[in-house]
Order: sequence, then C-alpha cells, then structure tokens
Amino acid sequence: MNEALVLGSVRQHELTDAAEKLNAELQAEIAQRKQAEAALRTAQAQLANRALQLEGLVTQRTAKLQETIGELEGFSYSITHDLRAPLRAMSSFSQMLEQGYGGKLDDAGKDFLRRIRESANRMDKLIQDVLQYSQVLRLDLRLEHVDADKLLRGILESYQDFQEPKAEVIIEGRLPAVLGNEAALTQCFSNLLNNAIKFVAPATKPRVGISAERRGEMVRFWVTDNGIGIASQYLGKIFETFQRLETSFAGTCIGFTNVRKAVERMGGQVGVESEPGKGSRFWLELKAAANGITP
Amino acid sequence: MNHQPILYVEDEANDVFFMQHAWKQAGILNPLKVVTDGEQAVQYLSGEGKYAERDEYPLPMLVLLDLKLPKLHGLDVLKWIREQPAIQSLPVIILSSSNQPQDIRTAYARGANSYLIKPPHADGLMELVASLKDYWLGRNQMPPARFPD
Repeated sequence: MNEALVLGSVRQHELTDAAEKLNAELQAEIAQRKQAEAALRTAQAQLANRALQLEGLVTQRTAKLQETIGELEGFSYSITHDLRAPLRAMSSFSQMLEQGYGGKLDDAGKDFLRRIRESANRMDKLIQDVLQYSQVLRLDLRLEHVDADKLLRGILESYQDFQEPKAEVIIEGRLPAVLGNEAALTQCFSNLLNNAIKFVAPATKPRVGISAERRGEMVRFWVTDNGIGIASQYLGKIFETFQRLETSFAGTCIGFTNVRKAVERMGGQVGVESEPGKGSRFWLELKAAANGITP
Repeated sequence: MNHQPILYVEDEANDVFFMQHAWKQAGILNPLKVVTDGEQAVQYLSGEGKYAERDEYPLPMLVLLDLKLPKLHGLDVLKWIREQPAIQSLPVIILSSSNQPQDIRTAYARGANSYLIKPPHADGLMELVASLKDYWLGRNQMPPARFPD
C-alpha cells in the first residue's frame, strides 16, 4: 500500500534532482552565453576602434598625398619661372651679340653663336616637356565624349606648321567620336603631329595622313608620315619614360612619354610601326564614344 | 603730346635689360620706370617714400607686371591695384613666363587687361614691344583722368 507512495516520493525526489540538474546546466549555459556576449562586445569595440584607426590613417595618408601633389605643383611652377629665365637670357644675348657684333665675327664665331642659341632653345623645349609630363600625371582626366574630327580639324587650323605650304596634312574621311579628355587628347595629337612633320629628309615636304578605324570597342587613330622613319631597335623604346635615343630625337621622347601616359590614363594604348626611310605610322587607341560614329 | 611713363615690375635683371633695349629700339618716348619687387610696385603707385616725388616718379599710364615677384606676388599687386579707388582702372598687362591656365585664369579674374607670355628670344620681345607701342600706346583709349587737367 505504501509502496506506491514511497515509489511516488522517490520519483518526486528523482524529478527534483533532474530539475535541479537541468537548472544548473541552464545557469551554466546562461553564464557561457553572457561570457560569449561580453567577448563579442569586446571584439566589436576593438573592431570599431580599428576602423577608427584605419580611417585616421586614410585621412593622414590623403593629407600627405595632397601635400605631395601641392609640392609637385610648386615644383612645376618654379620650373616654369626660374629655370626658363636664364635660358631666355642666354638665347637673347647670343641673338643680340649676333645682331650687334656679327660683323666682327668670322663664320666659325657665328656658328658658335648659332649653336648656343639652338642649345638654349632645345633645353627650353625639354623643360616645357617635363612640365607637361608633371601635368599629365596629376591632372584629373575626366572622360567625356570627344568629337575627334572637330578636334583634329581645329588643331590643323590653328597651326601654320600643319598647313600649306609648310606641310600637307590630310584627314581621311570623317573621324569618329571617342571617350577621352579633350585637353589631354589635343596635347597628344599635337605632339604626334609635331613629330610627324619634324623629322623629314632635307628638302622634303612633310606629308601626313590622319585616319581612324574601328577595332571592336576601340577606335584606332593612325598618324602616317613621310619622315625619316625609326630604326627597329628604337621602336620598342620610343614610348618608354624619358628614354634617350639618338641626338636628333632629343626632347622628342618626353613628348612621346607624355602621349603614352595621357592615353593610358584615358584607358587607351599607343604604338608605332616604322622603317628607316619609309616613314612612320603612329597609332593611338581609345574607347569609342557611346554613339560611335557621329553623324 | 604727353609722355606718361610705363611702370615695369620685374625682378629678373636680364629681362629688365632686354626690355630697356627693346624699348629703345622701338623708339618709344614714354619713359620706362622699373621696380624690382611687388612691394616697390605698391609703394610707387601709392607715392610712398621716395616715390612721393611725383615729378620724378609720375603715375604711370600702364603697368607691365611680372607674376613671380619677390615680397609680393604679381597677382596680389594686381588685386591691390583694383582695390584702390584712385587707380582701379589703371591698365595692367601681365608679362610672365608662365603659361599655366591657373595663372592666366586668376590674372583675368583679378582684372588684368591683357596677359602676355615672355618671348623666349630677343627678336620676339622686339616684336612684342612694337605691337605694344602700336596697340596700347597708339590705338587703345586709356581711361580718362578722374579730374580734368
């Protein structure tokens, strides 16, 4: 009779034990969770702290970069003004010497004066090219729709060197519109055209052809000349940064480097094909404008 | 015919020499008054110190202004001129070796009347001075004096 009661009480005892055990386990789990949460909060705080540090670092680095750009600008400014002034003086004094005292000099003396002037001019050109290079590097080249046809015809109209009787420059057909930066592209084409008319055999009239072809997404412009051409060993080097070729090319290579840098910054490419005595074909490739060939 | 001077603000001694040479070659009768930094330009124009002697240093009819000058930058000289009621419409021609768009833009924004790049040779300067004589000293109508003589 009591058996059931005893059994029941034992049962109850067991149950209470189990409940207590469960409770203890639960408490342990809660403690664990709390610990985990605390750890998570610490990690989050650390992460936030780290992000803040990183942000600070970015701000710091940006400021440093801005400072460098500012210094570069100051440097270019100083180049324009300070380095060019003595050259202007050299060139002008030798010219005045020639004009005022040329009668007292023999041919060798006059030749020396001419060489002084030419050297000063060449250095002036080099300084301007280096200046242009620093501009190409730091300017914000925003890409826009550029009507290459209008741009090139404008360049040809503005410079007598590109017109009859000095040179014959022909644009074949209507050039397509591309994605580029108008100012940078003007600089690139001017450089290529100047080069195309500059290096011709004596007593040869420069003849330059400008054409374009569509190559998939890109438009390739060709500037073909009847110049002295470029030996194969120089072809690969011509667009390399400040590569020194033969003396007759002095000063030109910074110009080519500027073209390459500018075109690359506009997402394009440059290249050249040439053979000595057979002229050169420079090309410049840029992304076609959205509506392709303008009507 | 009165020959009011032209004030030439230039720190580069050689450039001053070439300008005086070209001035003579061009046969310009207006005297060329030279000051060699930005502060001197301000002193000359405001008649301070020795420049108070207006018989010796009369107010110029035109200013030829270099940009990169010691003490006070050419663009600041220009700004100062435009802030002076007595000389605010004095014609100012910038003559600089800088072809930087930023310089040219700021010069015009601050009221330059013309912006010329220093020619790289003596010949070029001769041509520039000849055209200056023809245009600025010949054809151009200068702002009338504020009070009739």
